[in-house]
Amino acid sequence: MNPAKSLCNPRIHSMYRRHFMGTLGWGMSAAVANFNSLTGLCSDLRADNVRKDDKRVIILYLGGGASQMETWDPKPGQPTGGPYGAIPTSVPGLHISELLPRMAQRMHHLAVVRSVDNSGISSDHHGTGIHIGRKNEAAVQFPTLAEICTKELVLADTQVPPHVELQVWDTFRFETKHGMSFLGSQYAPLVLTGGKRPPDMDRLPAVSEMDHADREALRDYLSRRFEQSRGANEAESYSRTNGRARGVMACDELLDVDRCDAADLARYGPTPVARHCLLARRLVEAGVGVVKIRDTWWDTHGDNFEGQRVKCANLDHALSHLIDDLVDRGLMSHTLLVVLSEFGRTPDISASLGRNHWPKAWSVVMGGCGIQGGDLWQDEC
Amino acid sequence: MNATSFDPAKMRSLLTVSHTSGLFSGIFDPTSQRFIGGCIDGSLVAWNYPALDSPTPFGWRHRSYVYALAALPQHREIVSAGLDRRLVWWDPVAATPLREVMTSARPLNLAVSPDEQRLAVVDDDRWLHLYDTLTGKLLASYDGHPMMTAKLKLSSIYSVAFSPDSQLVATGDRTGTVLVREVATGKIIHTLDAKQFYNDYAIDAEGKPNGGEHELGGARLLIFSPDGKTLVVGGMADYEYNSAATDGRMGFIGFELEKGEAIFKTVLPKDKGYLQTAVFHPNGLLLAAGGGGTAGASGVGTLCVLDLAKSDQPTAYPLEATIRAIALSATHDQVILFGMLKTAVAGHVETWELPAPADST
Repeated sequence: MNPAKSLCNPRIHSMYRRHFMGTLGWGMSAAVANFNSLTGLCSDLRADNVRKDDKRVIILYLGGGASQMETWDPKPGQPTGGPYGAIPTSVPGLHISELLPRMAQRMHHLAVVRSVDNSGISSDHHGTGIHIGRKNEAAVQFPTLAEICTKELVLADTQVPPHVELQVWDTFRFETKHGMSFLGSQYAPLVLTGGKRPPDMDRLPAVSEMDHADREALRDYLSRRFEQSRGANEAESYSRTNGRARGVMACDELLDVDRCDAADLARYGPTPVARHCLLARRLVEAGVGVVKIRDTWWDTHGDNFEGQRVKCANLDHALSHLIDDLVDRGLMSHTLLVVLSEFGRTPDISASLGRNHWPKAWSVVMGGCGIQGGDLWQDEC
Repeated sequence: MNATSFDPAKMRSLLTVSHTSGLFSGIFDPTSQRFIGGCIDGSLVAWNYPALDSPTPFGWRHRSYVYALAALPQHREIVSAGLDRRLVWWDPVAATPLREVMTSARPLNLAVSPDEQRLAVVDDDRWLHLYDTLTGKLLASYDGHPMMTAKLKLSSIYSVAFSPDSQLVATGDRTGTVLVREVATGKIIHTLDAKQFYNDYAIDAEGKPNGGEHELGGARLLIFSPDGKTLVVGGMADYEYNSAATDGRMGFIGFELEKGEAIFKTVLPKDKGYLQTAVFHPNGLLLAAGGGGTAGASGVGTLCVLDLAKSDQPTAYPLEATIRAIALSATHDQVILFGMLKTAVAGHVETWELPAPADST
């Protein structure tokens, strides 16, 4: 039996960007607007806010290039297949790498695309191709997929940050940092690095809570009067930015992974990628529209099998808990989960046991938001 | 010639043969008088000595890479460890399997005690298992290595070695931690620091160290000196660049076992990659090999000779192949290297002559 043929679902063949966006159709709730009480969203009731029709996106980005052979597209027994075997999953006929045993039990929640080819837009870490979905151009700063989702699905007017990027570690050294896109700053991510909340977000000790509120009221009064008399977009932009800053200040507890529920912290464990998956779940529960978790150092030009094994162990634990939580809390139906890299890794194995960059055929998995779990797309279809 | 001496400066390559599958492990088997290699396609293959001709595949194969091999000359058997979680005992003459033991984790290395009473197996779940060499019965299992690295990744035990008197067993892991135990009791008598071989150096876009997640390395090589007084640890040291390739320089650390203190640290000046495998020549010189670094003037692999008494003066020969295993011939006048040339699917076997010093002939 050819598992590709038996598992291939024609529905995903017709998926294209506008359809994809339409599936996510967004109606941002104002329920999260009361940012002065955002810390209360960490209660058990917070998930209620997102059980409405609003959609969320979590992108787990495996920076450096995860090996498709050691994750979602194993080739055991082939000369270039590597040492690890394939294991059956919760989807009959679908096998993934033995390095992902917990994920194997949850593949009915995810669709696998094994034929991603982005060779035309990026083949090294310097490009931003996979983030923007096209070749980078020096003259134009195109928006990232996450920024497009932020614009089209969410949410410039939310008072929690609409788009948060969680850098698990430092940004991968060789990867160009993405600059401000032409969509504007309101769709750019709030970047948190290493699980730390943004610096300088505390109210000055010399300014009391009451003074702080008074100042905001005065600012708001003057801004409205200015806008009425001048009708300037700049004033609106200023007010929006100010509101965003106040929202971030009010998110102190929300943005601090160490303040998560102790049982959750214990369950997810200490690894950075797991803690950031937990933080991502909290953020979407609280109304953040788009969260990108940016893991790094999947780049294994040498010692690939050890490197991918240890990375996969942490990924398997983190991602499986995230999926469990999204399912258990009723979030999976309106949270799009995408796991991808900037490219895959070569089938060829170098003498240093490395796999190099391979953008021609690699794997992405995604689930939630109506995507049929268990679907498989690969070239044989 | 004097079989117990050779001149490191006069070593030369004798024969090179290729194989259709990369070689991850290899031994000289006294029983069959053949060189036997373990391949990434799961097979074992034997070459005649010294001609390196007529490669003969064994009659059964592992389902994954053959990570380690060891000879049991008293029992006239050999044993292999595969990443398919199998330990297999073989008749090396008939090239047929005799018995098999499944392991709970992936075995990454093995060693046989010199008295051939114990088989030590280390795995990627950080366990040391001791088996009865003849029957394959599991006798004891020991943990104790750190579970995670400094970057919170699961560690593994990469290396294992017995002391010459079979009383001690040493294990080395990804973090560079080396534990030395009593075989009889499992009691740890030394915890040695070889963290020089754990590399987590990383720099940011401005070239400043930033302590990112990047990590490579571990104690890949362990070997006791013939007198049992020194434990030599090998790996990849001095990583100065956060390339994702294995481009640190090879290094040794020698520990004096009575006190558990490092007595020398040697880093090869040019040779990159992991120092992976070693054997002591009867004259006391250590022959070691490895590789994996990016090709350059120094080659991608290295064969080197270390005199423990002059540990700052290693002799190194660059190789075109990455070496995973080294073995001495029966007469100690040749050394054989098993590895891979350019790609992992291209097996490479190479013999080197160990010529006697001029005044000994």
